[in-house]
Amino acid sequence: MKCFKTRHCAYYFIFVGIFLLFPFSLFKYTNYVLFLVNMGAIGVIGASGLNILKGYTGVISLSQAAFMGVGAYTVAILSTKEGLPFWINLPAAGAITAIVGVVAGTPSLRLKGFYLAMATLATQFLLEYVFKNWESMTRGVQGLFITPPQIFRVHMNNDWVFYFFVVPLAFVAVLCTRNLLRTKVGRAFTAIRDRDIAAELIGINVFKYKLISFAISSFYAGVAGGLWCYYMTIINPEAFTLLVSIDYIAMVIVGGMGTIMGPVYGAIFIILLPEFIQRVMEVLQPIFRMTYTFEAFKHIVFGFTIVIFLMFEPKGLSEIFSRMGRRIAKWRRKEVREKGGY
Amino acid sequence: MKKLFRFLVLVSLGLVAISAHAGEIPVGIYGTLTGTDVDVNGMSYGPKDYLTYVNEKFGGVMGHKYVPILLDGKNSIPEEVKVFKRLVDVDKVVVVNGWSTGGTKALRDQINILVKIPFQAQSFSIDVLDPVKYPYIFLMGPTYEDQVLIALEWAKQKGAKTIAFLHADIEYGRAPVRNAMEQKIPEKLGLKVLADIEYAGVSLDLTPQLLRIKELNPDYVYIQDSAGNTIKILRDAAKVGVPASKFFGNNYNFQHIIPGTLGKDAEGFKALQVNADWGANIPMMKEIEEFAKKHEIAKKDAYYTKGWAQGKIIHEVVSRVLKKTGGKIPEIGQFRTMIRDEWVNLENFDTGGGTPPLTYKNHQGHSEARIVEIKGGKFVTISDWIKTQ
Amino acid sequence: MELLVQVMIAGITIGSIYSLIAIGVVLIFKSSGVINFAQGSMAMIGAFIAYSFVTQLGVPIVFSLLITFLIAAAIGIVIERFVLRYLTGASLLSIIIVTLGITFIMDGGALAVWGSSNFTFPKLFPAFSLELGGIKVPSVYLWSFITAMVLLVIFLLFFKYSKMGLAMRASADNQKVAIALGISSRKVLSLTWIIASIVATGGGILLASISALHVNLSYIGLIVFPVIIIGGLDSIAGATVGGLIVGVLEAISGVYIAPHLGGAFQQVAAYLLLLIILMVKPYGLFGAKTIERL
Repeated sequence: MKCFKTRHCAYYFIFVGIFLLFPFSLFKYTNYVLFLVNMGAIGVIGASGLNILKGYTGVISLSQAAFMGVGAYTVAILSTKEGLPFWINLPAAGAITAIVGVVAGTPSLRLKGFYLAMATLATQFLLEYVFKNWESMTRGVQGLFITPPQIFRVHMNNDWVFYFFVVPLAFVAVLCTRNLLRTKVGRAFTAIRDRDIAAELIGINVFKYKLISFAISSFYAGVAGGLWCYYMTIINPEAFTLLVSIDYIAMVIVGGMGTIMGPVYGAIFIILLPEFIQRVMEVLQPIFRMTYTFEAFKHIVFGFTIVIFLMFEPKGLSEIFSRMGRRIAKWRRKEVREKGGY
Repeated sequence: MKKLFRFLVLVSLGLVAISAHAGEIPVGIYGTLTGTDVDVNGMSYGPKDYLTYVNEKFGGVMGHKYVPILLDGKNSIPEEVKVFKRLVDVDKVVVVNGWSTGGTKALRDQINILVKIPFQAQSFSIDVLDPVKYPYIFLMGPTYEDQVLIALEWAKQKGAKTIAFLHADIEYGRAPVRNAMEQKIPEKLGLKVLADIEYAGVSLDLTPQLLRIKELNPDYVYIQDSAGNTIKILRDAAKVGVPASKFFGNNYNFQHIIPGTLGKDAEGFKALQVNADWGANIPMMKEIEEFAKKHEIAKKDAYYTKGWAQGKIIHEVVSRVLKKTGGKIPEIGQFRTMIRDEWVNLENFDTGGGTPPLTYKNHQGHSEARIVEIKGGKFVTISDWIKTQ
Repeated sequence: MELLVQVMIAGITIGSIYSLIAIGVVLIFKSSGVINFAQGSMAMIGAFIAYSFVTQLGVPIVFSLLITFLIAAAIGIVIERFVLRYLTGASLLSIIIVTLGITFIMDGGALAVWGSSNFTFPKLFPAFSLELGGIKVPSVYLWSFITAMVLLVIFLLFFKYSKMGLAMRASADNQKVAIALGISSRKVLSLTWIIASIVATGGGILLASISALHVNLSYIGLIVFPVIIIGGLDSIAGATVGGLIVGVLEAISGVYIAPHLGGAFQQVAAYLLLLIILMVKPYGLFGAKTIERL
């Protein structure tokens, strides 16, 4: 019962409360907002995976979308052809994607930095090719239809049901990441990222740990892909392109590489930013009477935001928030001192 | 900095509440405003402009003004799903004018079961045309498979014996060709398919593919792709010495940029026309010109005219519903279902020359096309309107 | 046999354009260690600017080209000065993302200004074709091939013998020491980006002359990567050869291999080759092995 004494526990209760009550508080736009939140949660899982690979192990991967595709197709095939339930399919998707990830990671034995990134780029395109052409399994470009599983007799792709399913999963993913980094494995990762030659010297088998990193990160991507599959109910190769991989990289960077909450902030930001731009543009549109060019402006603003962000705060949103947190703490301490406290 | 942040958050939350007011009819439209098939997005500007025209000229329908909301689907399924949910949930639209086949498929449950909202897709795919399974989905025009049939029948009449297919490795390219092969359309006409050649949609150079075609030497080549790639195909065909007259494109190849860019290298190229072109001498074009006096038109092509015609259908159906309710706007769920019911009852509706008369019993509007060929740098009609059903 | 010859010619002609774009990327890398993902967009914008001057404003071709190159140079300086300067020393991934962000800005900008239609690029080259092995090779392809070769020679000589070239290489190798030696890294970087921009614009104009002009031209920025890996990131000769190799590979796999494997195999062939080469030679065919110190 140590928990009840600390302040942290109160925070947890508040969080859980907000989580449970949130959908009910949206009177008007429930499905739409839940959709955004759900996509954000999937993004958190995928981005956390990528963060492990990039932020903590220092491997640049441009193939996260393809790995998600592997997970999505696994779930689709297992549920349509074998009729397996979701609590087998999702972990299976993660496992199979992890295996693919390890195979894709073998170039890392000899490659570093940019060249490794290019190898992952090749993986992305090769996997896309497989999705499009291994027709006996994936039905190629026509894609696969899924009937989403039912939880308590409601289909999973109902926005409400999915919300209560995926947001806790996202939370679990972040928690797992945090715990992972406290283990020997996690410390090995950061050692490799910072100075891999030195790491090798002190006895860390760099190649083995890089492969483990690929495996874990791909597991996350596979699960995220499987969830996506259940939510969209149709998957085809066009959903897992390089542009999506780039989105994930943007999430990791904007959120803050190598931090635990980074992927969360990043995923939320990247999902919400286009919506925000859209709203602003809608308000401005009658004033400026732009018509078809205003869509292009969204592209420009998105690009600008990314560039400005990286120019002025390369450590990402998590740095901004922790700075704000530190300032608040300092201000509070000052206040307390002024009032004659400790 | 913190204050600015808080202010921005409040502003953005406030901006969320932009939706139509009572007494207005919100209509949702989305298309590829940025993305891979932007060149045919006239089909999305058309309905928006037509409904704006109705507002300006007639004050809306029975005093209620339309609020057309045009959003960007980016030709990407998750984006289209997101946009659809926004239109349905936030803007509470009564009709949705959609876009891609993939997006329509992903939304099939939403459209037909969960939300029940009439949905006019820009797809020509047989996979979303099913009056029984998808009672709320409507298309306009012959399916891609119908188009292949029309083209191959014509080729057969000209004495062809062998054909080849040429398309991109995306659903739009592969699925119709696959379906046509499965339905044995070439076989039934006695035509032999020499090859089914694919290329990457973003390829810059198609000379190798054209070299293969030159080797195989089919009588005709059917291109299941749009003008952007067709230009590359014909350009490279000229390089290797395959005449443009061997090539036949689907309805998305009826674009004047093809002869405009290629000049004499495009002579003899054929395509299918499924609705009236920009500038045709028809009553619908007069309406567009009237609108153009005060507004800028985004795309002056046959896709815009298709969109305009689609706008007309929406207006016609909504008008009929409102006549039945005596000018009162019903509750939204009922309104959507009534619109759908009226839509199915549309018979021989005249779009002012924009399309053949439209009947929606089988949710398709019409399945006619006519063949056009590039002669002297311009498209000329070389056949009548051909029906497939 | 005749088909094979034709296929190879087809591959070389398109490959020379890949080389041109790749040269720009390699140039920037050689002098600053930055990998410019925005090269394709720069090429596209350059082509559009040229189009505007020639077609929309009616300026004579020679002047248009000159002004276009000047504007391209200006864009290069803007990118270098306002964006990349803030990112000196930032991680590789950050730089990649920034250049990707620049790509978004440029693509969106082109879309906003010119719209999304296909445009006919003005005929800048006398329209003759050379008949080579049964393929009518239009003059544009010849121009691009010649341009690529000429640039190759110029840059090889430049980097090896000229003072500025050596300065660039020194700066890329170790910026601090270069500064200590009196090399103004600011000048070096600006000059690099100017040259790369102009080369990209040239490539874009050639590309638009071959295809139609459309905002999707910026996709060529992607094909560049197998080229520079195969050729080696810091080798201009490698970029040139790599471009030709990739071009020929695409052509051959399109004609001979794709029918058996199905799909558009030619698109991934280059990436497969990339993987194979990287496994054998981790720094590309011509790249230099970097020595890492603790």
